[in-house]
Amino acid sequence: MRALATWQDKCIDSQLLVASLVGLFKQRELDGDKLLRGTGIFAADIRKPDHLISPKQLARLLDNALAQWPSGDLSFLLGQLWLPSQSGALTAGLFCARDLKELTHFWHKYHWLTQPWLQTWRWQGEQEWHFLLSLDLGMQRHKQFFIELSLSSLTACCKQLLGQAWRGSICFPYSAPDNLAHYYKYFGMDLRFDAPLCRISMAKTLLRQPSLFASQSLVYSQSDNVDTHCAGDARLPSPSQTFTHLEATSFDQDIQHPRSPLRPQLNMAKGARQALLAQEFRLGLAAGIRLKLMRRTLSLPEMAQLLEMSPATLKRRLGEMGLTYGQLVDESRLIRALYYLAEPEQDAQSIATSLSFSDASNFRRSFKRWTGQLPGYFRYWLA
Amino acid sequence: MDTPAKSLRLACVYGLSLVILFIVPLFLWQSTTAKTIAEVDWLDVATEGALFALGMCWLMVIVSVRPSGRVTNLLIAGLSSYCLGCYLDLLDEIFIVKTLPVYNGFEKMPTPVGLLLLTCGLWLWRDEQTVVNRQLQTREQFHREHQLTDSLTLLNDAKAFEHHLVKQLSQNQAFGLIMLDVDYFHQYNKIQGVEEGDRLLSQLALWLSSALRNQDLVCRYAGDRFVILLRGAIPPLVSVMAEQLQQGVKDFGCHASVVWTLPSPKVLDRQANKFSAKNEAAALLQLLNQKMSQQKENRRSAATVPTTFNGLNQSTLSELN
Repeated sequence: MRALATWQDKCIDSQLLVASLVGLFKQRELDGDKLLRGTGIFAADIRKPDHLISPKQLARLLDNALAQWPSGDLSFLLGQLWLPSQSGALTAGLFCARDLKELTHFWHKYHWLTQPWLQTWRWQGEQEWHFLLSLDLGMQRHKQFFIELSLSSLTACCKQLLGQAWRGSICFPYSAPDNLAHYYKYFGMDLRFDAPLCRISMAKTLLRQPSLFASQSLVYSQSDNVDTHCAGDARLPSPSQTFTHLEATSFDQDIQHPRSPLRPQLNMAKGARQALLAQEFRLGLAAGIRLKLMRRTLSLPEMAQLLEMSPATLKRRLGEMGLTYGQLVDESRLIRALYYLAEPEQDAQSIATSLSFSDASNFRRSFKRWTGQLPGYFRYWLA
Repeated sequence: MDTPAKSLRLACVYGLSLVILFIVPLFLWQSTTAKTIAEVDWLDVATEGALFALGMCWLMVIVSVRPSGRVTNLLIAGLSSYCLGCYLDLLDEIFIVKTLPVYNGFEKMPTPVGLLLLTCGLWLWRDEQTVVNRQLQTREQFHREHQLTDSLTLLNDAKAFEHHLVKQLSQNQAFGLIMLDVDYFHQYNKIQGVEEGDRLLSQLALWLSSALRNQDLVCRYAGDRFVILLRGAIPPLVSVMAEQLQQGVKDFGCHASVVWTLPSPKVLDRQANKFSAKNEAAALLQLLNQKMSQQKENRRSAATVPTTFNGLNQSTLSELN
């Protein structure tokens, strides 16, 4: 298993956010030196192609940026700039997606390449696909910023690739913010606040919307650029290594059959996959622990043993990111509880058992503590 | 901000104050004796020193932000004179000045003269501000919260607009709302560059604030979305205005979607006035946003890619390659 990125590990490509942030500050004639002060990032480093920064540096940078930026639209501007400022396998893959469904699934799977501070979960309901967003790499202090950033990059992406506005509903895990106007402008009208988790829901019919670029990218990817590009990244590991994602998407199976009609899309998926495999890290500590907890509830010493570190070290590493182990346990239990609640055959007793609560009333009490509501209120929240 | 005249003025003020700060004590040192430590009333020194320091701070604020002109000159002259008075007052706590008739006579002068000048300056500043208020009428309608100003377009932002809307609602007068959103602004940004996009927004803001009637107000809602409050409006006026704005935007080389609403004036309950006005304002803005997204959707289904942005597909492809 890959090491999980901790607070001080250099794991975030500075091209992703830092470069656009510095560019934006320059364009608006704000003080770039003040922006980088105390972060340990130098203006010259940003131009280097493979420069990496740590979550700690990123958090400091954001503190500086938000303190200096005069209005509440920084995350939205960065989100708008996100797709044009990206390059590499993931963007190519996004351009090749045939429809919104493929696009979102591709994004879900390979988001580490462009938005490593996210952890996404997806869930297929009856009418809708749901995506749950949690934050990785200790970025929960800037929760609102990153949720705004990722959602506005998603909506901007849709606008550009599908030629129409994104439609869907979003629940935010905080109360209605001051810059509500931007939410209406960029995310549409179907918004709810004070939810237990950030949930993005899109109707399945909408997800079948074809992409404007699908036919063009077909031509592009058949010219062999992609293969040579991929070969460059393919030095590193064999794909047989454990792939630590929750679900296997159709891409995995399709990649095994190179003659499949999805050839161009697959090339792209392969490119992204290989880029991901070439990364030193593929998950942050918090995301890695949550993934393990989704399978089974473990105690802190058990988890520490699994991660090959002492309990004290694990506690300290989480503490650096402003997290406690208990928080992660609660969060993953909540996600699992919401999954179970969406299934009609589950009742409180069976959910309590699967989440290793002693009885149903214990589960109800904890659920009330997490969300402020009883489980019945969130029945079919992910339906 | 950094015009040569301004820097010169700054240098003059600071230079002069430094000279006074050093020359006067030197002169006193030469011509009279200092009090012994026991004689000095330290409380007086502290309070008069504080007055002097505060006066200097005010002076610095005025010098650094005021545009040059007669009002500013008066304010600066008044404040400097007041500061000089405070300083001389401070010195006589330390030196025995009774023996110097020149000093003793002069010491009393600067403070009253300075305060008089300052009062004149403030009076003229009042007149000046009335003019400025009228200049800014379509941007702020006599309510100024500078921290709610958008830094790019220099219009007020959505929060300020909500405040105005609440105020308007509680006055029970007819008014109209127009929302304007630039079509395909993300493509404009992509093709022309973000700088060009920013310029378009500030030009639009400038044009909007001059195209409106005096009693109207325009604010930047979010991104490329603007919102306009028309006071004392009747239905034909609002629809004509909306039409005109939509036509006018074309001069900037882009298209805009415009939606409007004309809420019927309601008599709000006195008690729950403030609260219900707030809710009403939020509901109105939500309605406008709703209308806007509907119109955008209709427009998209009518024509997928506008002719003005034909360059898009090619530029995106070239970026990919």
